Amino acid sequence: MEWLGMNAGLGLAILGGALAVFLGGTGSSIGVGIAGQTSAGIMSEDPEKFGKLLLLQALPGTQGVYGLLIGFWILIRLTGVETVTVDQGWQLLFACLPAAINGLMSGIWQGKVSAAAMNIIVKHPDASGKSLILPAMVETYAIFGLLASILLINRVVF
Amino acid sequence: MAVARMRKVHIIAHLSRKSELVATLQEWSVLQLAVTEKKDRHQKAQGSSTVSTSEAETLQAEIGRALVYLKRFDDHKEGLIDSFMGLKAGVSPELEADICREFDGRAVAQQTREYDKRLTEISSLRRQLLTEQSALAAWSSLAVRLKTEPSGAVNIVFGAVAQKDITAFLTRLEVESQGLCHSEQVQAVGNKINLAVVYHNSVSPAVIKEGIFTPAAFSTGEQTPAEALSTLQARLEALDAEVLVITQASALLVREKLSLQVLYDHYGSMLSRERAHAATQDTQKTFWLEGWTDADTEERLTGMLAQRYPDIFVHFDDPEPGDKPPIKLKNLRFAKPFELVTNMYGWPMYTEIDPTLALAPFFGLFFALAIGDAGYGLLILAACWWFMRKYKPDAATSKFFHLFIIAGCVSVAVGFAVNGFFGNLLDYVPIEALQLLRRSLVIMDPLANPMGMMVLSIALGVVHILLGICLKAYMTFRSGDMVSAVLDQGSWLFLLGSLVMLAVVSTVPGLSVYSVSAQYASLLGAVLVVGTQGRSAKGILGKVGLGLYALYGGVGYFSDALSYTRLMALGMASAVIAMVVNTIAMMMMPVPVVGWIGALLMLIGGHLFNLLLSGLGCFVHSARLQFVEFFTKFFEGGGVPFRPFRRESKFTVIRG
Repeated sequence: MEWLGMNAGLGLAILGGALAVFLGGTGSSIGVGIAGQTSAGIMSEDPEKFGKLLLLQALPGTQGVYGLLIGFWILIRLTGVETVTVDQGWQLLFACLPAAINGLMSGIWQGKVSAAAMNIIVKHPDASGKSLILPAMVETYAIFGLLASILLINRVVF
Repeated sequence: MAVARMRKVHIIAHLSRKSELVATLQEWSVLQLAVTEKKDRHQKAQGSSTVSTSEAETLQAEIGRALVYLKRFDDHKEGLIDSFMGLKAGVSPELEADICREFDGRAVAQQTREYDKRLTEISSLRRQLLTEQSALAAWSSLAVRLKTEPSGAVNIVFGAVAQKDITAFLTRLEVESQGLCHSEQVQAVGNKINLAVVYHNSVSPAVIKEGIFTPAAFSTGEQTPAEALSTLQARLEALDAEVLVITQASALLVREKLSLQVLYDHYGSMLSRERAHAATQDTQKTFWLEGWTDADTEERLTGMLAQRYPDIFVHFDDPEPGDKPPIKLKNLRFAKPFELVTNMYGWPMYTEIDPTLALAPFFGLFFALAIGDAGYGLLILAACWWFMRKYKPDAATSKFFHLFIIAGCVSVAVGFAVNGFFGNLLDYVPIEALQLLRRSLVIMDPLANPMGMMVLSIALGVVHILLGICLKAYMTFRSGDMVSAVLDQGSWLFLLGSLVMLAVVSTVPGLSVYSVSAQYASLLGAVLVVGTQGRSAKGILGKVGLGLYALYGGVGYFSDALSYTRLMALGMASAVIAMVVNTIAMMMMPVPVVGWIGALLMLIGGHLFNLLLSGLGCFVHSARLQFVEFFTKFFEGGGVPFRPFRRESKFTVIRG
């Protein structure tokens, strides 16, 4: 692993955190984007649905937050650590992947479900509470990714 | 914790009492009318009012349209919060009566309809004029009238020729008209040139009839382009002035909004009374009205009816086997707000139990654990207090706030126990006594001990799931099937209970002596499940096979329990984001002068953002744990809610 250079461990760890932020954020941007387009379409007909639509649009935004959280979790773990070996670097990088990849995929799909759930708000305004639950089913897997990443990062021994 | 016992009400009275009785029942709002299908459709309902049903329907629709129209001119825009709450205007009974008596809603509706129609006309006329204007603008420098009919010895035509063809066109024109022509290039528009062509009567140049020349037609033939443009301008200005007048007049009509709303609801109520009229079964002299009410109201209703209508016959019945009584939930005061969570899923069937009381403590606790912050709990409480004070919501909307007040209180307690107060904000307050107090309140810090928190989440989940199975057992038992309750739910409870024991004794030091007995108990539990769950199959092999399959299905309980780890993850997420907000704010502090302001803005904005996003997630996931993990153990739902016959109110509520 000499080609990786002297401080490769730290670099790998940062790459892990960065990937979580980047992929989680990408998933959320796409998801919130999809939901946003649908809500804009609905609001062009009925601007008063804004509040309820905003909630649904915000739901796929959490993956980005979870990614950010993992980025900071790496930062917190590295605070006060003198050197990060290449092994530890790889471990941290892999530990970040559940949150990163789950965040990317679930963000996109949650956005699609949110957009579809907006139809409920249009056709059955009384059932708008129910419409929040469907996108949350997708988010479960982002949460599990986050959970796995936190626990895995915690297990890396310095 | 119950679905209220419903009673079927039969009222039989003389037809002359019908209108008054229906109006009284509407006022009392305690009875849901049963829909009878055996109704003779042709029978005219005896109208209790001066307006006929179809007329009331038309009027209501027109007033509805007028309200939609007037909304465009209403300066008081409905805010984000209003659109959420769907708050209704409070009206005193006297004012309502005044409005219904004196306000001419029909005239206002008529007026707005005319305005609306005229505005639509003007808008399409304006579009048309603007198109003409832009077409004419390309001819504005021409000083002749735009008339193509022959006049005297010459003809004049107008049209456009592509720039690249212009030389060829002019040459052909010159040749074909034998020089008896004149053309003037007026203006270039894009890649075309507008031309006016004048030629003598005696010639007929073929080139102006071909595709190379696109003729232009004008509706304002008697004028020069400049004159026509100014006429258009004048017309447009006149239209704009008219729009202004209509807008101002409409803005004035907005004052009648409340009256229109009151009238809309008045007609709605009237129509609902008419429907009630039509829902009874009548003989020549009497009518028979059927409805539902809950058993608690029975006595009050009987008393009220006997006092006001001594001459009618009232009879109460229990629901018959084929009936589907409407569902009314009956809960203790503290659990009442949690009916909202139950109703998000649906309504229990009449034969089921109401899960509200069972889910209430768990929902509060889950929400609090997921948000895990005392500071956020306080913010939620403050926000609820402010909303309740400012908007004075009705009973149904208040439930929502009461739910969050309870959740907020639990969040404060749980927040201190998990060491969260706006994340780690207290770390930055160097007061020894405060730190001491804070540390003494902490039971488990999820950031320091994530595994502990995870185990706690799963443990809560196990309790939740076991409670669900117990409720199922209770329901089976209540329905009289004691054997199933013991064999089905009993065997599972035994197995899962033993497995929990096994997990506890093998992890807690000092209890390991019991691990062998726990193992045997688990094994016995598994045997019980295999032995009982296949009893519906035929043949010994089938019974064992189905039993084994049921045991395999037990994997579902494990994934259900693991699902509760989300509580810990959500709690950590909100805690870490809060921490990040604090860190960034503290990084701003050293900046001279503006550092304080920046830090303060960061703290307020960051924590509000975190509270809103985490709060939404926590609510939704706490609800999901009830619906997916808990309800699936015992609850089906599918009941129809009890909706008493009452005054219809879309916009207004009557407040005495």
